Amino acid sequence: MSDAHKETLQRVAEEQFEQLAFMFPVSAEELPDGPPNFAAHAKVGFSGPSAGRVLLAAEGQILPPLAANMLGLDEGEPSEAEQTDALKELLNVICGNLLPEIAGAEAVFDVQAPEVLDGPAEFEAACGRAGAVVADVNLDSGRARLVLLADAR
Amino acid sequence: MHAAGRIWGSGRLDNAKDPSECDPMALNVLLVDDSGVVRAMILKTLKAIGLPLGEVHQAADGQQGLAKLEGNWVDLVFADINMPVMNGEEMIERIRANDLYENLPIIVVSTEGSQTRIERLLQKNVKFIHKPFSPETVLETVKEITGIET
Repeated sequence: MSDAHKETLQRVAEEQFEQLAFMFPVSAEELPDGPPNFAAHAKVGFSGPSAGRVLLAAEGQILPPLAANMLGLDEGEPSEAEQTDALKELLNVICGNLLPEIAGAEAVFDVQAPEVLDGPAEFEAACGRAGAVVADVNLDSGRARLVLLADAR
Repeated sequence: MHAAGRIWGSGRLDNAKDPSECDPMALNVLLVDDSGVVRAMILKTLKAIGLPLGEVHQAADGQQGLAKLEGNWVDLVFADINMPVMNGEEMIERIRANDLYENLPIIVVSTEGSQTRIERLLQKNVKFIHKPFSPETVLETVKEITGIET
């Protein structure tokens, strides 16, 4: 996987945060110092011309505005289930828009249902895998990280 | 539109509203998506664009969608593709296999990016909206497929 894939992953993710949830990218300098504190992790698998998965980690403070903006809530906090559902849908849309950018518009992929991970272990392992494409998204409400793992068939 | 929409209805349940109680222009809508957030987003968009809504039915997969369709009058279907139990493509095939639903307006709302698969879907007499979608896209597509003016 090349740097071009990393740029594509980051751009597609930023676009979907923006278009789905009106959450806009900021520079890393605008965020607090220190490592990100990811509180939620999700993954979505795909198969087709290549098979693999996209994983997403997000800081906890991202989740309420993500769900509230996607649902168009004017008042009140989204429930935990709504926050989880919003995270999964965001990942689904990122994956769905990413694959044709990488494999071309004629490639047919089957995208599985996204799922929330119990903890960070699978995500952290994916980050360390050879060939993993890792991209960070910095938002005014917090940070997210994406990992693309794909075999080369 | 209401009366025209009813031609593809399969029948009514006893608990369905009497037609005389309904807004004659209102559309009964079926939302089929395994994500509650997406169903909520579509519904909010339909309200925002001023679509006259009658009954709104929701289903989390294709099988549930078919059951809702059998038990209710539906004028317009929004369907995802990737769903558990029964995916949207199979649900649409089953809908179209029933003569009653031959012309039922169906709008696929999906992240699908493959032109090959999109073309295959369009051959089933459906419209396609790519996620993420804008209210303007939904409005134009609904107008195009139903002929309704909002």
